Amino acid sequence: MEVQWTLVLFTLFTGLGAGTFAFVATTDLMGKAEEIRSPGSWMALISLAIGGVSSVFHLAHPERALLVLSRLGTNVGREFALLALTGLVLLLYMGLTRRAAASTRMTVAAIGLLLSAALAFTVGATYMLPGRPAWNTFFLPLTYLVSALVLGVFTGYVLLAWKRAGADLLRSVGVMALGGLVLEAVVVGFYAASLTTPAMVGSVILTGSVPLLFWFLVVAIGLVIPTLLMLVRPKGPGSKQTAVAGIALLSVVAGGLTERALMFLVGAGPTLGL
Amino acid sequence: MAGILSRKLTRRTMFKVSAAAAALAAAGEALFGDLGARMVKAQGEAAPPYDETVYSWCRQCALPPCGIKVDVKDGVAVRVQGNPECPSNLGALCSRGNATIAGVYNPYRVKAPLKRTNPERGLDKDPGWVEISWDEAMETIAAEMKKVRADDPRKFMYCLGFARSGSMLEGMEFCEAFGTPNYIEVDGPTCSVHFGSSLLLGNFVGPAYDPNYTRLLIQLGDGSPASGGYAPDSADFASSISRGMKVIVIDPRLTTEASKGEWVPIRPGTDLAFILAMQQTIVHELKRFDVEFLKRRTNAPYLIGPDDHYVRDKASNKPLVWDAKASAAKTFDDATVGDYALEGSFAVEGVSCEPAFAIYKRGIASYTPEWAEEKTTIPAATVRRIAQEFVEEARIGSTITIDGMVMPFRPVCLQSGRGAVTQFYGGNYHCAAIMVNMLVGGLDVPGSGSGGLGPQHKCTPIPLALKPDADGVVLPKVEALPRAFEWPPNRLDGKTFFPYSHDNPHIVFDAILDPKKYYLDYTPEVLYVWAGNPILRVYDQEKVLKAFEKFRFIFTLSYSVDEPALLADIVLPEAVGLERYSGAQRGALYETPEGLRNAVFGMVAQQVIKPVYNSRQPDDVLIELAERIGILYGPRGMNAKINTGVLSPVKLVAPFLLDLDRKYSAKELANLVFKSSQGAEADVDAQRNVAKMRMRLLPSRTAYPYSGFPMGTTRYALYMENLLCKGEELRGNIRRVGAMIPGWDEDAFFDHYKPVVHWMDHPKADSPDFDLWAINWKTAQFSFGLGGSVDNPWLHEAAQFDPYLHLVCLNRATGEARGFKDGDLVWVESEDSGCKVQGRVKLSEAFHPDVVGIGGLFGHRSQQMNPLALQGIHFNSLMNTGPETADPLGGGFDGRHKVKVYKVE
Amino acid sequence: MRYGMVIDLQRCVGCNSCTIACKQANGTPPGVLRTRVLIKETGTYPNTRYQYLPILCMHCQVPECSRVCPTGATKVLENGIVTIDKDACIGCQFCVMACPYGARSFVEEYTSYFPGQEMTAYEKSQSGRFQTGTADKCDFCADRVAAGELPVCVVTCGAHARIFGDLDDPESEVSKLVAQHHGKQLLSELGSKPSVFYING
Ligand SMILES: Nc1nc2c(c(=O)[nH]1)N[C@H]1C(S)=C(S)[C@@H](COP(=O)(O)OP(=O)(O)OC[C@H]3O[C@@H](n4cnc5c(=O)[nH]c(N)nc54)[C@H](O)[C@@H]3O)O[C@H]1N2
Ligand SMILES: Nc1nc2c(c(=O)[nH]1)N[C@H]1C(S)=C(S)[C@@H](COP(=O)(O)OP(=O)(O)OC[C@H]3O[C@@H](n4cnc5c(=O)[nH]c(N)nc54)[C@H](O)[C@@H]3O)O[C@H]1N2
Ligand code: SF4
Ligand code: SF4
Ligand code: SF4
Ligand code: SF4
Ligand code: SF4
Ligand SMILES: [Mo]
Repeated sequence: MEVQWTLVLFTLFTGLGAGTFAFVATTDLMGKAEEIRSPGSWMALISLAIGGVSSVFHLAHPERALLVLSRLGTNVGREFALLALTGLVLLLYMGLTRRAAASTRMTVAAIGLLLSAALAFTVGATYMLPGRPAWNTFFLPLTYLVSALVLGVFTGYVLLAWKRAGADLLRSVGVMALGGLVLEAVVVGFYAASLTTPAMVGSVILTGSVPLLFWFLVVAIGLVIPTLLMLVRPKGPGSKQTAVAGIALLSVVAGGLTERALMFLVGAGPTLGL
Repeated sequence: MAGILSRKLTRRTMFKVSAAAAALAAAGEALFGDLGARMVKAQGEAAPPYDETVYSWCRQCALPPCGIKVDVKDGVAVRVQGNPECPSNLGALCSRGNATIAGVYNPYRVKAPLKRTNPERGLDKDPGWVEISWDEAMETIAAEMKKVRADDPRKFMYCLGFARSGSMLEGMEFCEAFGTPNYIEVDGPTCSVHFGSSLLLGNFVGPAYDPNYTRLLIQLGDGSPASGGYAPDSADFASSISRGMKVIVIDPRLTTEASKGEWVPIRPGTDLAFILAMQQTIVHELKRFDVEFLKRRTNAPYLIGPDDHYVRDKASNKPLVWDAKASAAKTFDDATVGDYALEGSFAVEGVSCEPAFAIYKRGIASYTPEWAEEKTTIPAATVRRIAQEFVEEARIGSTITIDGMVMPFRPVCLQSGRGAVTQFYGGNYHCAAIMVNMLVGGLDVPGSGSGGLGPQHKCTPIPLALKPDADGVVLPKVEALPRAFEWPPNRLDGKTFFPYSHDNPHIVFDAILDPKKYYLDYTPEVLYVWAGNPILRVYDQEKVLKAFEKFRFIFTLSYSVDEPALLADIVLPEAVGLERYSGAQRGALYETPEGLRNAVFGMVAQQVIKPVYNSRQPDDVLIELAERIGILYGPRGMNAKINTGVLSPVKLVAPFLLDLDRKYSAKELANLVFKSSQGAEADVDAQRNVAKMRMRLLPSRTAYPYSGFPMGTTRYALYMENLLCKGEELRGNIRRVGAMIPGWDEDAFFDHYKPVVHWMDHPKADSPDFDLWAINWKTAQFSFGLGGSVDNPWLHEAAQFDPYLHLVCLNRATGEARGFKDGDLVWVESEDSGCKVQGRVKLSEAFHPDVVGIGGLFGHRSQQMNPLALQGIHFNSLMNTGPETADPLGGGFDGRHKVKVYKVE
Repeated sequence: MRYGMVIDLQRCVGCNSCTIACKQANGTPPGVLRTRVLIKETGTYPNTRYQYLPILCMHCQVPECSRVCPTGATKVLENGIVTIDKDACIGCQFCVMACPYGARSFVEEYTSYFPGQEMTAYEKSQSGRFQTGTADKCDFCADRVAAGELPVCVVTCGAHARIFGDLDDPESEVSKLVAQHHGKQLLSELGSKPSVFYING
């Protein structure tokens, strides 16, 4: 089917926001990277907001959007609820960073981490529709989840590089990033392999415009380049580190965007043979 | 229509619905105000209420059989549905009928009379239209017409096509009154399917199967039962299939019908071989045929002398037969004949002779299935099996009683469409195909094929009667009627040489460009084109365009500015179906509480809406024009010609004949047609909002021609002595005047006038370069261009589901062997016309390996039409352009279009 | 009461008359077809066949479309008809994505069938019936059915390939046909329980 760009932006930015919040919360829980807590939270908030606005743009009748409150159990309702909840917790967390006790903040961070993960997963799970065989697999929301985490790690990495964090911290983030990329490669691979009919597989990796997008944007730009960058990145802080981090983030964003757009391209309905 | 399903919600469901709806409405009002109502129609978009519902007549196909019901709101037609009370369609409509509205409100219609200001004509030249008044337009046309009439009325050519559908006046009456023989239908040469039935069955078309009883239907080159999607035909076909009718389809292409039965692919242009092999198998191998029928209902026992003619009784001049019991020759109608001899050699008054059957039998002896296989590619075993099935399923000897009348019952039919008949051997083929039915006694009886369009024929309700001629043989009708030899020729259409041909626009344009070839001493100067498109429907467009250049003045009555209109000096805007009055008589088998009846009903078209643009309906235009020229009134005027009942499609009977000196409006004319059919009380206005049709109910047996002419009253010709006579007469005349048949060698030409059906080799040798055959077919959306269908966006939208639309279809194996894949851009080049057309390849399993399939009727070039209309491939460019392969009998095009296909570089 | 349709694939001739009938009865804009008839070639030469497959909303008893509809605009009526309350539709199009049968369209805007031309009088008369920015699909001609008439596509089908009635009534024509001919539901493995049955496929 046609790519629904507003939805692609919605899932990309909610993913970015959730991932970033998760990264901030995780490092907070680990007692590290205090310097990015605030800018990271702001980044997360802005991303979630952009995601939210994109979803409103997707609606032809946003003036009726509140009707969704009546059916929070639906896929969209769950997304809506989780997005709102994550946003609220994030705001709470941001409020707490300044005044509250560390333990309270940590509790909120933990909740935030869980909510972010749930949001990132749910945004993908929305598309697990029996009517779209190409989407109806757990690897789809897993891909969304892992992609969100990778986006979060790379956002964190950019912020840390920008804040001139120490080599140790950078190295652990580098390891996290590499781990995330490997995980993403695995999940994307499993997703592609889960496409049951040869036609679907073919449409992803062999014929049409999809393979170009897949191999070039998802694999090369979204996975290989950031991996290489993480392997060759400078050890210590500096403007080079920041530049590498920036390029790596752009690559994973491009990859994440393409993954999401591709989902629509491969998402034909079932063949209605009798 | 036996065994049809209910068209209304049953009382049972209806009760529940209304009970539920009432309960809901009551509960709704009590509890939620109008929320209850919204629940019933929750989509919240109920169709608006209408001001008026008008019952009228569809006009979206050539011979429209269906009644419609139109809802009108604020003067706008907002919905067209089938009239559930109309016996022919019972509420159904085909896709074209359903698309009526998109055609009516098409903004590309001609909106006012147009006058050309740019004297230079051409498809790529802007005519510089200016809008003028109707009065100015008609006056200009009338002046030109008077001028040409004073000079030589033959120089006026009236050209029309099937978009005339449902009109009361078609133009023959006008041409007669005007004095021109050049009434030219452009529709004919690609559907010359009339000669065989006219000659052998005394009927315009046929045989066509009996949806009530046929158990085995064999179709050759025929898509009308289902592929064409005509609503009533689909109904008949689906019911027949449902009740177990088997269909065998001999066609180079998988048709809808074939898909519901057995598909036997055939190489195009070889059907005659298949038919002859069927006869050979039945007569020589199986030796199972309806002997009684041949003896008593055909001329098979007539004695034939050495001159190939009937041996006649000296005194009465009646043909003789041999009474095997009495061992004596007797006249064919002698009641004392004990047994008709079908074989043997006899001598009658010194003349040695044998029964026609013996000659026929010998004639077909060599046409074995193996012989045919080489030509048709149909395995010999398949031919044998089909022949076997056919004779078995024919149940020779069985009878059926309908309305108290015992009739033979032969539930098999072999019928042919234009794909098989429109060939250089078409006339002969058609006769041969009818004879296969004849061999098993399956003609005009229940279960078999009948002349006309069969018992369900929706256009002529009562089958044309089978009348015997002086020889006791079915009197030829329509196109097989003798035509006086005209010398020097007056007509542009070459009917001097092709006297039994259908319509010959192909000859006309050839003759305009080369009058000497046709012994003509004039070329036409004034052309009227209405409802037909000679530039699209004939052949190579450039050739027709050259002929168009010869005309001094061209005017058209048009729906949109199509190609003829684009070349015209004056274009008149035509009112479409919903804007017109019309009337006709129609018929259908109809389920009544008393049982099945043959309903003869009056079909009325109402002016449902006022013309959307400044347009007028064709009948009014013709009457007005006749008046202005001065050919409407008096005993030789157009009114008088209409009263004859043979020149127009409508029949008027006393006291509803036209007053010769009055000018009638189309509405008045429609009223007289209606009254002529249904009596004085019938009234067009009174019928406007009434669904129920006025009808006369006849016993259903009247749908079978046999009921009018049972055993012993008339005979079918298995031996076509009358054809031989026609040929000899024509040959004599041609020799007498020292002429040559245009494009033909005399012997090859008269080979078609032989009394016994036989194989004929194609007049043109095969070129190895052109190794494929191009074929074409009508599609469910685009079976005609009429009613603006090719301009209609709804039809285009539905046609997107046609897997072959606008594509060059090739059998997959053939295509792959030549390195083609789906989507390749290719040229298809014709051997005969030298033209080539371009299209994208579609590889398919639904085509014979020797075939290039291009469906539908496309090829518009006028930039002033809806751009949608310009899509598609002009198949007709691939067709032959000369008379040398036209069918000497039916006159139609040759269907053998040899082509080669290669990639566009 | 559960309205349903039986489609007799042996009778269907693939004419797409139903497609256009539905279009004109409902005044749908270009590209929006509540029903359509898919035509597919199957088998290999010469044992080829056409598969004609009329598709419309299946009026599922367990409809995916309403499961995902976040506003409740899509709902199942008591008579089994699955409808869209256009006033409650936010145009999120999840139902369009979720429907396994491709039965839904999204009406973005009401455009003319003649691009570049003024809307025709007919189109003007119909455009008011459409709320743009909402999902659209077959509603089993609920208005007509409420008035005791049959759906338009049923009436217009010359081949009588479509039969409509109450599946809850064992005596109705549809119930009998389903029983006698072992009616099949499309993608029945999804558990959506369509009210459209196919016979003689
Ligand atoms: N390729 C191909 N050619 C064919 C056929 C085919 O199946 N395929 N079929 C053949 C047969 S069987 C026939 S009978 C003929 C029919 O051929 P024609 O008699 O020419 O009839 P149509 O093509 O139906 O319509 C003629 C033309 O009239 C114009 N027109 C359309 N609607 C209207 C209208 O409402 N009023 C007026 N005044 N004009 C209108 C259009 O330019 C259209 O092309 O075609 C023959 N030619
Ligand atoms: N209700 C209604 N019925 C109508 C009409 C109408 O307007 N309304 N129009 C009538 C008119 S004008 C006509 S001409 C008829 C036309 O009806 P048909 O004669 O049925 O014409 P087509 O539908 O074009 O089908 C032609 C078939 O011939 C096949 N074919 C092509 N070449 C060959 C060949 O060499 N051999 C064989 N065996 N097959 C071949 C093609 O593949 C195609 O399937 O329909 C008539 N029926
Ligand atoms: S077959 Fe179709 S076009 Fe012809 S009259 Fe019936 S509905 Fe109209
Ligand atoms: S109208 Fe009837 S026969 Fe024609 S495609 Fe639709 S369901 Fe099939
Ligand atoms: S077919 Fe699709 S739109 Fe119709 S009820 Fe089922 S899921 Fe909903
Ligand atoms: S588009 Fe409308 S009907 Fe469809 S899911 Fe969204 S709100 Fe419901
Ligand atoms: S039931 Fe009504 S809305 Fe549904 S497809 Fe048929 S005609 Fe269209
Ligand atoms: Mo025709």
